[in-house]
Amino acid sequence: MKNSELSKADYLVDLCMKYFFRAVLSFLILGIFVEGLMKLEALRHDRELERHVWQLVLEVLPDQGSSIDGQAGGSGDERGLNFTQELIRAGWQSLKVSMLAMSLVLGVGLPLGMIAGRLASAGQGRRSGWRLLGRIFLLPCQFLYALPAFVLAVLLLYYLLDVTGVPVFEWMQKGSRGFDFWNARDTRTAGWWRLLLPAGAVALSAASWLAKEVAQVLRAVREQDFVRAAERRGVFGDHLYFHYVVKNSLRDIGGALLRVLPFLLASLILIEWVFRFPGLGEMVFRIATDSDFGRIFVTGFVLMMMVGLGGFFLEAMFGLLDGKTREQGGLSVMSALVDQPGAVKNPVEAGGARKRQTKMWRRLKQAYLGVFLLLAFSWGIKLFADFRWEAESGSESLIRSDLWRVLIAANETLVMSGLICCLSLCLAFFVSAVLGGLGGWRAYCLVARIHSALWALPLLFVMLVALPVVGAGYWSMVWLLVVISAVLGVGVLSRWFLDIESRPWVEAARATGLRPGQIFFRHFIPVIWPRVLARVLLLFPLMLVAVTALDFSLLQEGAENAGRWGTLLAEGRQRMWQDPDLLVFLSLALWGAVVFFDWLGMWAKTTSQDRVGPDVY
Amino acid sequence: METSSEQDQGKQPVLQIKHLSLVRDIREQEEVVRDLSLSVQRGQVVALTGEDGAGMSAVAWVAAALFFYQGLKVKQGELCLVGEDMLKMSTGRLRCLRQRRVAYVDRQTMDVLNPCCSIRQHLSEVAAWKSRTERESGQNLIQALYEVGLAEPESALDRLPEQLSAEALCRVVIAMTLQAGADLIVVNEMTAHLDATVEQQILELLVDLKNRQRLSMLLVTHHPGIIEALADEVVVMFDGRVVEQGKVSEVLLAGQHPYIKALMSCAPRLGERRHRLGEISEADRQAAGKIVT
Repeated sequence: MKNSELSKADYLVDLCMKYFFRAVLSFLILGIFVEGLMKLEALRHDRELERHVWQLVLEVLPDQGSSIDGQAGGSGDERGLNFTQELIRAGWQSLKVSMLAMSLVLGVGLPLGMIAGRLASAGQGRRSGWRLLGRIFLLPCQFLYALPAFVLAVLLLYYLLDVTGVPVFEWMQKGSRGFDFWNARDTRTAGWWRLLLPAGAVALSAASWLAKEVAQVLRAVREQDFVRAAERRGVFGDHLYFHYVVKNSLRDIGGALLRVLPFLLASLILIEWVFRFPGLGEMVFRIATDSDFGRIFVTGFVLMMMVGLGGFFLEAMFGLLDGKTREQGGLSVMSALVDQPGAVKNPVEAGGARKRQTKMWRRLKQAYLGVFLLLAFSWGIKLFADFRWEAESGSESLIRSDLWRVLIAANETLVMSGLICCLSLCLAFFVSAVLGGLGGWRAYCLVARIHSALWALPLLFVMLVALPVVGAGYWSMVWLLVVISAVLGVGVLSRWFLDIESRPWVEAARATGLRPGQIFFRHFIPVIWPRVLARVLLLFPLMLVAVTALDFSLLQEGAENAGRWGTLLAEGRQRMWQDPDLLVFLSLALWGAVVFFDWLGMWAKTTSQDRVGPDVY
Repeated sequence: METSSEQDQGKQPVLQIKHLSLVRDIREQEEVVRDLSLSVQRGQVVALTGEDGAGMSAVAWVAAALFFYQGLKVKQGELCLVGEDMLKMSTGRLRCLRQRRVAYVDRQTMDVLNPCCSIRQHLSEVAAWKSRTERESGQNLIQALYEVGLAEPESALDRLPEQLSAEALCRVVIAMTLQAGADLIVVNEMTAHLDATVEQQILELLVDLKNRQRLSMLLVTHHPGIIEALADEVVVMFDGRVVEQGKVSEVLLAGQHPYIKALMSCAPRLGERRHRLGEISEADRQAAGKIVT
């Protein structure tokens, strides 16, 4: 019996190598992506590209004096040097806000989640008062996590100005970069104080999400067999919580923190745009519309490196603290995303499996019925409003009603989000089935590598740079989101296929001589399909927020986007000082929709994970 | 805390169950266990056997002060551990009981230990409950592992559970049970997941410990060989009821009841050539359902 626990020094060395190769892979993938965009741009505009993207990369470095392609005018040297300076300053600004936001997330979200987990751990039984208290404790997080950061930022602005009278106008210098303002040296803390608002807007939503995730992880570990066995032995209280539950949750908590990082950065991009904060996010908006691919590449790479640096720091910290994290080779973004396909937990209780399967399908049907009814209701409102508007043509009373406009826009937004979810998962399902069936674990490892490299790249950045190239339009946005989200889905679903392949019933089926196709349809699909259906519901709120964020950023001007929540939100922001109703209605509608679909998805998903019988001690 | 020797007053049984009936939900009429009576004397091993779903695990859980596991409720009856009525105890008191008086060993020994804690930490944790002021020294922990026949106990102390084999984990769990100094040990098919060779070794260990330390044990098993080797008395259950109980030689080896005979005939024997394994017929089941001892 040899002790195989990895030493801390070896772990750090392995971690450095891992992140180095990840950086190289990210560089390559980003380069291929930008190269692809350039080709698309050339095809679209029918002109020869004058400079290779790699030459553009070299020319923006301060040591190089060569000129840059005059896409935006100006002398090459001057533009290159300015861009570098701008990049460094913007990067530093964004880094400051990110660090502040991450501190707030760790300082608020993590303790909240731990306290909720402790309260749940104290209770005996699923229906105990302590567990209920834990859930009540997390109620504010339920509200805040569902509200996108950019919506929260706008609401904060309105609240601070209108309700409290704080002069936030000085934080918003519309049209100007405000470098001097944000880096004011009149007082030592002035610069950092002014970062609190954008950092807080980013952090609140992320901290709420983190608190929920941490509480969920702690609850899940609390249900594990060894914790129950410890309780049977008489272990209880703080000893049980810290030595059994928390110790075994560290890796999953670290994984949740790892997933927060790109989420923070993506939120920051929009937040900077809302506040006109001179960071990388604001820069992304400018260079995306200029289609300056050299700068796009460099900025994208810097963004990825920022996330990667944060990830490295997190993995190093958790690895040094937790032996199991070291053994597993660090944290994993994927581990928390990949649930095991539903299986009977207690083989002796096999008699309950049929009942549980029936319950699961019943829940899925009810969930989808709820979605269908919601879509039908929103469609009905739209029809009714159109009818009323026609009947009252000449009267603008209906158009001016903000509430009606929000309700009318609901149909367009929900349908688009639903379409993206369904198409995305269909594509991911097909690709995963092929990968899992043909490529096996090797293909999955390749997918996992690509996924880990892409993890650091914010989805919003990809959309912002790709949309001007592929063209503004309903279907271009839909397909772009479908493809991008399918890439993440492939990583998760192919893992499901591979996990099922090693299950005893599949091996038994193979042993009886069933053909691969028969095994696939009889033994894979029935297990995976319910999970995929639940995942569609869980993906819905993400797509809802993504679509709204893109419309809000006004990249779709002139396109067929007239009736969605994002554009109404942009309008609401512009006139919030005079009339905040539209903003308030939209915020409530968006929050309600996100919470509804998230709850529905979790409800549908957890059926197959329920243990048999209550757990009570 | 009272030591075992202080408990040894007269012939008071360690575990006494009288006319116990259990249900899953107090509103339900279906009883998981019906009118069960048994007792375990000091130094005695009583085996519970029968088919799957006969209610043996439910009896084991209740005996180990795990009343509410799987939603079991006591409908009627008496349940005493070393003279104390468990049904009248609070949850805190029951927990103390589980720490010091009764130990429960489940079949999934691979899953009962904290993956993050070393064997030393597990043993120390259990030992700490024996005396609040005293912590077991490393030497005592090594001795505890020697007692259960674990190879290389010095190096095993600092290993994590996943670094040990299934057999080693079994021995560690037994060591923890002995460390607790419990009056009653409830074993629920501990060797079910082990291969035959390892199972035999664990069985020999249990027999040795029983002889040396006068263990009182309630043993749930389907294996007639284990019953024969380890148990003094056997209780045969079917559909929540006791079909027959008594000394091992009388019940299993010379049992006359058709259900008992059918049950024993199901077990394959080396050297015996059969086309099919035996099975319990419907008539035998109905006969068992009608008989209650």
